[in-house]
Amino acid sequence: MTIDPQAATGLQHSLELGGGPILDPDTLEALRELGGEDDPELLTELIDLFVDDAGRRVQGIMASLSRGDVEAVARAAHALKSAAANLGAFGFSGACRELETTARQGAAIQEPAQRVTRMFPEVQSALARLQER
Amino acid sequence: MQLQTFEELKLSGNLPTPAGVGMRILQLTRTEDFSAEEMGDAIRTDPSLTGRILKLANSASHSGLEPATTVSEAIMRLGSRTVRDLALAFSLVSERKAGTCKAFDYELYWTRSLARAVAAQTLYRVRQIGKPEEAYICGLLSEIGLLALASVYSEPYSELLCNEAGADMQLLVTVEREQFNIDHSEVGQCMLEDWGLPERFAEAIGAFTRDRRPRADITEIKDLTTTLRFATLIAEACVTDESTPAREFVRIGDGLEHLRDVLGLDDSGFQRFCDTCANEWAAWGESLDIPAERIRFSHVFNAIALAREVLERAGESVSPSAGGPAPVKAYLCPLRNPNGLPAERPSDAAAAVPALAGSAAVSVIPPTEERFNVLAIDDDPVSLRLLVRHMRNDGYQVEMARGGKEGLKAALRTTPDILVVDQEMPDIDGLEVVRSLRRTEAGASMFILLLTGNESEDMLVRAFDAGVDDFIAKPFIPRVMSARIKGGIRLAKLQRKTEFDKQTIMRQVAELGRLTRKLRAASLTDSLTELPNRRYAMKRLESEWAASQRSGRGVSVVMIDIDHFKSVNDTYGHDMGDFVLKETAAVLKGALREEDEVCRLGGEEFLVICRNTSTDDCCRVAARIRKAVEEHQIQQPAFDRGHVTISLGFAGSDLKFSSIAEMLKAADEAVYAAKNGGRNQARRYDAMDCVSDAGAPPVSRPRAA
Repeated sequence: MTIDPQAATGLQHSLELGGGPILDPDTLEALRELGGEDDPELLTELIDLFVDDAGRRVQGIMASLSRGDVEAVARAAHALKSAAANLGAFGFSGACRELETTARQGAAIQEPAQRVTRMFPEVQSALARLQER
Repeated sequence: MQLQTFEELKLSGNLPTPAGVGMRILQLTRTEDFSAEEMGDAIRTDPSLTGRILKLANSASHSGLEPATTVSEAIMRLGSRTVRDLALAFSLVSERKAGTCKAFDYELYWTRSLARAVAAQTLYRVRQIGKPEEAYICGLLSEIGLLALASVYSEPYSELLCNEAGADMQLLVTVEREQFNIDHSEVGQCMLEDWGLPERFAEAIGAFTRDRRPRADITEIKDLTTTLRFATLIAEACVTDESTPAREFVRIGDGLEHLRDVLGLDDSGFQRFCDTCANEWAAWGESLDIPAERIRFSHVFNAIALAREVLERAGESVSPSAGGPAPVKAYLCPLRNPNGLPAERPSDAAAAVPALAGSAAVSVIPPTEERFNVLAIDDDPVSLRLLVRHMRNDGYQVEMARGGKEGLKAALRTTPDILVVDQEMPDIDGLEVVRSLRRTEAGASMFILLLTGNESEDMLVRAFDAGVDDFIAKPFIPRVMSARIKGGIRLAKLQRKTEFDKQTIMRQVAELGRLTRKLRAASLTDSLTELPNRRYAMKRLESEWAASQRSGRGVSVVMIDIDHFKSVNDTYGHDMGDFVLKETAAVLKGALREEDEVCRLGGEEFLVICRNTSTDDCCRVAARIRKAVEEHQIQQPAFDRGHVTISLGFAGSDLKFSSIAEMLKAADEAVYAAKNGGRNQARRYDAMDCVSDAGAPPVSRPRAA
């Protein structure tokens, strides 16, 4: 796997996504614009909120999985799906959607759940790097 | 009376009001001259109300009589006033069994009120001090002010109750007054007056709820007040259980002992009396669908004795407390909580929905100020933060709340014009929030947008069923959201305008109503004697005549003229004449039966209308009135005649008159015959000879002829 030059601008590519961007640059730009001068901390705050909330939910997924509580997994995945999409983490959001759908269908969720938990640290560190800049 | 404040409470539209038939009865009987017949018709439309009234009419106080089986019989037995008041009280119970004031235990409120009502009724029966049904009504409604404040100010009142849980009811009154400028005692009194219940009821519950002596030194009111206090003790004993604190048992026990002495009963007799109350309570509970356990007072007395022992052993003083008022916490929900403090009810969305009325609803805010508030509710913090940012950029005043429970609370607190709520939330989902809100007055008019990731047909149908106005697909597209919120604002503007107009109109209507009531009362009352006047008499007679035509039961009239009144005026002056008129009016009033009514036709002429009365029965009424006037000493030293006499003539519809005018003319002729026959006597129209009235001979003839 080669490293994309864009990584230098803070937009890492995901191994899980086979090289797709972890965070969508257009979405991030739109969020910066939305904050504008009135609310310059918006993006930073959103990232903090996401990392905190999503971190807990991902842990929750693991716990629910071990309890066999499929319904809780589906709910957590649903919440993660839209939160991630808001920050342009579309790849991760997609993985969450898949987990939600699988859980709601009552199919085996081990695999999609693991995918979500594997991807989360990637998103987390991508966001962290964004914060550092 | 803080009429101003009470009228404002009324305008909030949240005061408990008799439901359905009760409302109809209230309207039918607004005026003094209501027709018992029409009221009976209204009651008959509600079988359960009919059943309850018959149950009361047939209760032990009227034993020995054939059981009443129709509403008309009940009205005959209890009097139309009492039946009216009962109907109102009953319809009130069926209306308000649940509500939005979290700390207030509605069910327990009615349970206690019913126990008090039944105990008061039983006390009246045993002590034979008045109409047991009146005691029943007073017992049921004596704390209606609490229910009213809980309904109008649900959330702040809930808080107030929690804060004052340790206080007694008297302190509660003070705190209520500080916070709301009116207290439950006064609200209750105003409500009773507003429903046209007798003034003495309002006076008694005022004294009872303030734990003070009645303002007027009238035996009836004093009896009623004392009865309410004792009945409350029995009610409190009825709702005790194993979690009731020992101290509480002792307080109730002391009060009950006092009652036992007042009743002059021994222990076993008193226990039987209490058990009678408890049994009646259970039976009524079933009838009114109010929880009332079948308890035995032997258990209650055992518990009281045990509590005394426990406290004594613990070294606590068990000084006689003579009952004393109950602490506020006895009204809190749930009562069985030993701390007396309400626990947060977990995820009970319905219970967490206070109808936000109070000051916000009653103050009229002109719709000129065009600021619209938005509340965003979402469980996802990222989405919530974004939502808020977008809306602020669009220039809205935005509040946010995380999660359904928080959101519901915030919505009721801030009453936003626009509510944006996410569907998927783990504690209470969006649709549940919407449903709960739509049940409240404040929530009914919000514009609600649902954020949902699920746009399936089924979901949308459910959303609109729940009361959603519009929806936004998630993840939301900012421009679309802005557009939809603008649509909502348009509606909110219209809503505000309508609300403003409505409040203005309601205000005007209330004022007009007040004025009309005053004017109507004035136009039907004789200002000197405060008796109903001729206008009223004729209206009343018309409705009674019509009723008697329908029912076949008679109506009779007694025409009365004060003898030698002209000479009273001539000899003592007009002031004395007025005084004699007033005194005579009071004596006439006092000599009547429940179903009779006396009016002043003008000058020295009075008319008594006797409902459901034949000419034969009327004879006794007339004789009694004549005697009462003759025996009454005019309390005025200058009036050396000492008393006045009257001449009476009477006639009843059973003498087959073709019209009211004819019957009145007949009674008039009979008066004329009485005058000619030597005055101070009553004459029957169709037998113009003197009516025997236990042979009281005319005494002390006035000087002038």
